[in-house]
Amino acid sequence: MKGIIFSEFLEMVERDYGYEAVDRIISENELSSNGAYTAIGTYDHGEMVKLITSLSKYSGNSVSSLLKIFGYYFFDVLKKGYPQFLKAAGNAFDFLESIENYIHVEVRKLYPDAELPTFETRVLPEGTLEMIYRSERKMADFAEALIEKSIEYYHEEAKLKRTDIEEDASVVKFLIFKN
Amino acid sequence: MQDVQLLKRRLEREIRARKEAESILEQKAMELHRANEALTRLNENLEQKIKERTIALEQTEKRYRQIIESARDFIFRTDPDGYFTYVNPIASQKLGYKEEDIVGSHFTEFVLPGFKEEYMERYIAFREEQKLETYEEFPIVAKNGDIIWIGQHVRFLQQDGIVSEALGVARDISERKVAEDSLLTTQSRLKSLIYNLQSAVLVEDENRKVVLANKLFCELFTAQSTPQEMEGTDCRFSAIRVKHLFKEPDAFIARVEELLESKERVIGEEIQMANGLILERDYIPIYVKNRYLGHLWKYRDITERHRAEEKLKRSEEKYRGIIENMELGLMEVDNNHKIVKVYDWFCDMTGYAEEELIGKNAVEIFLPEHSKKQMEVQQAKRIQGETSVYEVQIRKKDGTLIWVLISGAPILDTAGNVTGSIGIHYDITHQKKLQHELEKAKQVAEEAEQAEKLFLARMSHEIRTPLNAIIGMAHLIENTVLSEEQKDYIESLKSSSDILHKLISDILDLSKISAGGMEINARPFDLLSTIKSLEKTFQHKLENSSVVFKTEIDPGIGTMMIGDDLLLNQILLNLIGNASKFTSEGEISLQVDLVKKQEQNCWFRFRVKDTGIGISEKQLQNIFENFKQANGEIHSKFGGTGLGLPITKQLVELQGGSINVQSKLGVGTTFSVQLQYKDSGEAIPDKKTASIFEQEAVEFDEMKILVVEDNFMNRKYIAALLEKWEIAFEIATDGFEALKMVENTQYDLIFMDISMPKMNGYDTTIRIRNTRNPNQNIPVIALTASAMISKKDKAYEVGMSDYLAKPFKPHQLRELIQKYAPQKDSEQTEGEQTDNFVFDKQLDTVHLERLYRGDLQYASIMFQTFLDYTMVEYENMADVFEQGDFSNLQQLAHKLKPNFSLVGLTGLEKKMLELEKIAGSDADKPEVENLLKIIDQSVRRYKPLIKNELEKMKVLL
Repeated sequence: MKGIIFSEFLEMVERDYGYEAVDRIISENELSSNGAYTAIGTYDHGEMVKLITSLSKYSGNSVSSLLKIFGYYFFDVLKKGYPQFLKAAGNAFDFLESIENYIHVEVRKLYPDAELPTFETRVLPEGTLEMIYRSERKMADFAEALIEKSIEYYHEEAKLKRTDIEEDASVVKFLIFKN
Repeated sequence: MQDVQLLKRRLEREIRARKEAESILEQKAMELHRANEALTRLNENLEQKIKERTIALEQTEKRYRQIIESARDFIFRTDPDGYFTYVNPIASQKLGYKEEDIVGSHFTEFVLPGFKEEYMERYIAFREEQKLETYEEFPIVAKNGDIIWIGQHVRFLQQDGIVSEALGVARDISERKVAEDSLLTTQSRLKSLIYNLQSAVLVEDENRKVVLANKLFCELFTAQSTPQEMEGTDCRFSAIRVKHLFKEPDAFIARVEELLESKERVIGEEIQMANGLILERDYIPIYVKNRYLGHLWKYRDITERHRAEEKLKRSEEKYRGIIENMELGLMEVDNNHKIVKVYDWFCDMTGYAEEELIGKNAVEIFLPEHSKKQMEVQQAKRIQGETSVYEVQIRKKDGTLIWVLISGAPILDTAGNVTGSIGIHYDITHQKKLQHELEKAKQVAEEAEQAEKLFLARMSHEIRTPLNAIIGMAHLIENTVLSEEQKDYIESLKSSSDILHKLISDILDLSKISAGGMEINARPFDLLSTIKSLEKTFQHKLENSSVVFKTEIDPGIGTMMIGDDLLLNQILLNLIGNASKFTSEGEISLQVDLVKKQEQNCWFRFRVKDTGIGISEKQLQNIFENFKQANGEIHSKFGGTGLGLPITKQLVELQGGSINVQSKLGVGTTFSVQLQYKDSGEAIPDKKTASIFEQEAVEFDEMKILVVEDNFMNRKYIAALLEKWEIAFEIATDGFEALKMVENTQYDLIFMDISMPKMNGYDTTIRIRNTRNPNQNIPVIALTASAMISKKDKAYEVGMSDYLAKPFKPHQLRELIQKYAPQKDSEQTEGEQTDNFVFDKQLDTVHLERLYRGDLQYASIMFQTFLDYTMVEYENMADVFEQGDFSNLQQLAHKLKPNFSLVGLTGLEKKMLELEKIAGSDADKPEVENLLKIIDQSVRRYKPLIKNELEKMKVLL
């Protein structure tokens, strides 16, 4: 998992719970990285699971809600750091469609070893966009938050419907209905 | 403390993260550096390569462009829709358009109209089938209107699966196309020629595959296949398949194989088919530049020709056989007499062998000098294309001459020119000899006959001449003053000489008839007048005897008959003369009946009936035989030659008639003669009737006769008669004297003796007729003692008018003079008159008196005629009226009308005139009928009166 996810996660934990919470979730777990993450590095995904599980214990919030909050937080990071991607697409659907075909393509050019989820998109009749999310990291909540934020970014009114195709949420179908 | 620990841990984490990031970055920088290095090198390489490639490309393009621009083919590019984007110069040059005119145009604009749509359809099809390459041939039109056939290869270029443009190369194939067309035309013409040939044709290639078979071939050999189906089929086994069609199947197969093996041309072989057809076969191998490329079979149905030939051959053989067996020698020569062909019999006939004759001149070989002229005439005919038959003498090889009958005919070539002639020779040497002998024999016979005739003529002359003198003198003595005794002697002398005369005449007549010298001179004659004349003669003759002569004539006889009246006269004279001889009292009658009439043919029966002594049955049997007179007693009592009846019989039979006799001793005899005459259809001329009344007395006042006679006695006799009749005459004693006299004096008639010394009567007459003299055309009458027809004929031939046989009686001479006397208006002779007769007052007596002036004879004849003819014809009127033939009725009335006044019925004549007027084509029938009734009542009333008047007259006559 890319280092930026770890570093931004710990930034959010420090913002919401203080560095003590950061230190605690790191110290609590046996981490091969010892908790030192750089944005351009790449780390074991299991460490993120350990960290977020520790935070859930520490804060009393569920992992799912913590991932969602982290999604909202991370969209703003992306918006600040890579605005050209958002500006390139003129609307939410174009942007969502470009994740798989354009953004991820560019990411792989920079980080050939990156493990990225896939977003298969299809435009259904009556303008509904179908997105199928597949990832062993099972971070559909994080993805859901990003989708919500991007709709919001383009000031569009759309309804999002989530259906878990696999129970462990490794495959999830999102239907985005334009109003 | 906790915070320090926390910060310390935080710092450691931060440092560790920073170091890790620095190491990653350095690693990335190195990677970047290496990538940059590689890129720089790659770039350098690329530039070099681009440079090289550019140069190479430029060269290639230049080369291709040169090729394209200099190509003789059209090279072009079009967009996917077919609009030109490029054409090479040769294309624009050939089409005559500027390049820029072509670019932008659609390719179909150049296709020849008529091919446009077809090509467009195919182009669309190519596109739909997604063909990437096509080849098409079609004509295009240049700017100047020339049509150019092109063969076009098009390649469609694709980009991302879509046709982006088309590249085309087109070649001008006009020449090839023209050649192909002409080849195709030739081929199709040949094909159609072969298909329609009157021969069955099969063409095979060298592998024995059918190239072509025509309809006739299929009809002849394959019942099912058509020529099209045959093409391409294997015919290695076809001979076996069709062999059953031939009369000799195995021979057919063997011959076919032989021909195929030999590969040599064989023409005109004849083969018989099982169905009787006869075919003529040609086998023609096909070689092109010594290479065998198959062969042609040609079968022609020659059955008809074959049959005709067979027939001709048979007929030729037949005729040749006939000619050879007919002993006819045939020889053919050309126009120069050169012998072209001779047949066996001709060689046999002439003694030459064929090889001795062929090529030789026929005239020189065969013709003796005296025959050559004749041959020239014949040859001229032959050249004119004429055939002829002639006799000629030819010389045989051994030098002997034979007579041949040659039937020569020209030989014509197909153009009709005479190329020679053929002569059929028949040896007539034997016939010639016979002919010659026959001619000699005929000559002898003719000479003998002539001698006999001469003898007879001389005999009759020798006897008649003195006899004539005796008779003449007896008549002359009779006119002198004689004692009773002398008168008796003279009477006896006259009757004896008459008998002698009669005997000689009869013998001559008989010999004439039996020699066939008696001829029938058929001509129109008035039968009634002939009978009337006989009646008159015998009435006169029997005037002073107690025998009455009368005639009964069938009233149906009213027209002129055609026949020999003189012969009839002779027959009847004989029979009536005979009857008068044997009848001393009673009646002799001549009955004439028209027994039968069929169209023109009339059968008459003449019956001479007497009340004489009759003939016994025994005598009747041979009464018509020569010299079989009744018996010696009769002969001594009645005299005669006994030749009268035989002559009569022969004369009757000569005319195709028959005669028979019925008799009873002491009662009488009836001779019945049946004769047939033809009805001429002409009415009897009125003057004929009038001639009945002509009297013998003729005025000879102004007549002058020349008598040419060498015999003194005859001269004296004629002179005495003429003096008695007070007729002027002069005498010449021979021909020369006569010729002198005719030049100086005008005569009316000449009597010319035939047998005269110096110049005979014929020659004298010819001179008179042929020299200019006043008597050139007057009648000349022959006087001769010869009664031969030949003499008579000769007399007419030389221009004589009539003929008198010596010895003649005075009345014969007188009749002739009367006949030829110049025509004068003789006054009406007065008949017997009597003042005692008065016509009945019921008749127009004034008219009758004026008409007949008391001539009862005349009147009685007219009355008789009226009853016999007018009344008979009158009976027809009712029939004619019934038939409604009014124009005929009119004619009849016209014809009968004058006859009524002749018997004093002038009132009826007027009635008839009235009838004539109202009858006719537009007649009113009831009116005519009414008038006819009135006329008929009168006729019925007056007819018995007329009969009565006639009887009254007869009593007085």
